[in-house]
Amino acid sequence: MMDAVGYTHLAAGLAAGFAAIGGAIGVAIIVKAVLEGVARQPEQRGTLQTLMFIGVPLAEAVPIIAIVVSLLLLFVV
Amino acid sequence: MSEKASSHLVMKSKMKFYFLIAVLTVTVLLIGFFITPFQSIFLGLILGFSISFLNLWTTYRNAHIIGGIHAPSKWPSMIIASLGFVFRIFLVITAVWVAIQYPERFHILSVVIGLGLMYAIMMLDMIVKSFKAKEVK
Repeated sequence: MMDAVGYTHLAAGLAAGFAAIGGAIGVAIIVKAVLEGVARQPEQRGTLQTLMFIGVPLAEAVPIIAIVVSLLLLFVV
Repeated sequence: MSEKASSHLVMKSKMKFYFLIAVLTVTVLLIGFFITPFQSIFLGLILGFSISFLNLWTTYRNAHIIGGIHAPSKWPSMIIASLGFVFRIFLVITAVWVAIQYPERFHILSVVIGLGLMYAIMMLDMIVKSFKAKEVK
């Protein structure tokens, strides 16, 4: 049987892992869309690159916050 | 003007805008730190927000290097370009480690909120921009 500490460690791992999967899918979708857009309209490259520059950090925010939460679960709770 | 240069200018103006917002936010947080008795909360927010802005700046540099505007042979660009996401995670882990080590100085929850503050500002900016675009149409 797992005790409370074991469950906390499991929760930390699950939080970081699932968020990493979500973040990776998000970034992949953004980059895929930008690449398709640049291939179709090369003259729009600047606009698309700027949108990517805004979109990628927003997608990355989820795994970053999840890692913080998992660290808090491991060391604070 | 070449396409690369126009892309550079658009991103630079965007980054300038975010820098201005960041300076304003840090000023407000500093005022809160000096005026109110909740010093650990405001210090935590300042730490989290600074790391959050540094993350954004790293992404900006990476986007420039990918776009071929900065030569990746220069050492700071090269290091930031090669690390990318790992570097950002390292920064966040450092901030949380500092907050855990000095809980009497940095309020841990406000560090977490500060880490998400820059993203919240970016989302708000995008929402406002989309509303403005709809009004123009």
